[in-house]
Amino acid sequence: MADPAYIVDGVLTDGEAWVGLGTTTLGSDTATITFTSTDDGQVGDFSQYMDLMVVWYARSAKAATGEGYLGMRYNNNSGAIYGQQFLTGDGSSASAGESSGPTYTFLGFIPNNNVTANIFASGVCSIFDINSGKYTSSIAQLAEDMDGSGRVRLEAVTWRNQAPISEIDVFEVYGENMLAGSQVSLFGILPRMVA
Amino acid sequence: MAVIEAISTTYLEADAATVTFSSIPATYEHLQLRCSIRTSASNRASVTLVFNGDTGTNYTSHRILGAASSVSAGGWSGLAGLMGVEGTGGDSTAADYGVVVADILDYANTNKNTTCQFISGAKIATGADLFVHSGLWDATAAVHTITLDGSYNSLRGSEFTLYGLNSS
Repeated sequence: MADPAYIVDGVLTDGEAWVGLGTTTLGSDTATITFTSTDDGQVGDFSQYMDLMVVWYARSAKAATGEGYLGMRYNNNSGAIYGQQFLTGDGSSASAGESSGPTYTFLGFIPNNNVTANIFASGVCSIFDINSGKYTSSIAQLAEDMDGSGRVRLEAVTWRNQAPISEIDVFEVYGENMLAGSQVSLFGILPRMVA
Repeated sequence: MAVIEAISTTYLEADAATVTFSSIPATYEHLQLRCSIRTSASNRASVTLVFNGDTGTNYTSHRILGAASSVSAGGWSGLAGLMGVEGTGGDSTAADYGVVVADILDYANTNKNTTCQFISGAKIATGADLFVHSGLWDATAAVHTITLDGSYNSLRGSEFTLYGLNSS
């Protein structure tokens, strides 16, 4: 089997701590963006990474004011096992909350399509130690500014499952589409084991 | 040269009191420490972060904490190390590990004191705690060593990776 691109003559090259696994930019309104491990020992094989990082930029296609919810699931698992704790600021107040039973990792609020045109929300989510046999924990940061209203949010989520991650699905929680132009990127983060 | 490079990973095969990254090159613009930690404490516990072995009272920290439906804030000075690296303890399931991202900014600049930001989350008996910390080391020395040393051991399976971020 050939080495992945970041292995040169059997050696991990220093320049590739973060490896791009894929970017999907929607050309039309779409319900779900999926990334799947290639399970072939190559760049797209999730099993070799320590952490994963999701970077997203999204808006809902729903023709209404207000917001939608962007969610993420691992391995197509929709069990109520994604426990969450969050901090939210809306410009005038801060709040916190928790829940043990969501069926997804909450990435953030996204503007609906009657909000001022061209406003998208954005966020990053770190998913830690994905092949360790631990429960999978993540931290997500959200920025949603709708030119007069909006929110910032920080959310920690634990997926109470010890399976390695082989699939990631990003979707609008209430079944709406993500608007064309929405984008999700996935990065794999390598360790460096040295003596 | 890549923007982000892995400097070193420590993956604990046995419980350990201390984890140290030494001889950190001064060639990066910033550092990022990413951790997954479980401690021997009975409840969630902080692992103290110390620069260059300095355990004098030269550290300052502020934080926001989200715990269930309450938000709180606090600030401390005269600390012997930085807060913000949070691990789980014995009140959570054995497979629960706290997670941390710490950014250590302009760490090699000897004209500035070193400032940091931490984001961390750790499961507790019911629910979880979520933290945002800032940190200041009141010294201008370039950071060459980072030590993680709490009152409790970090347990087997805990993982720590230090990354270097280059300027573009």
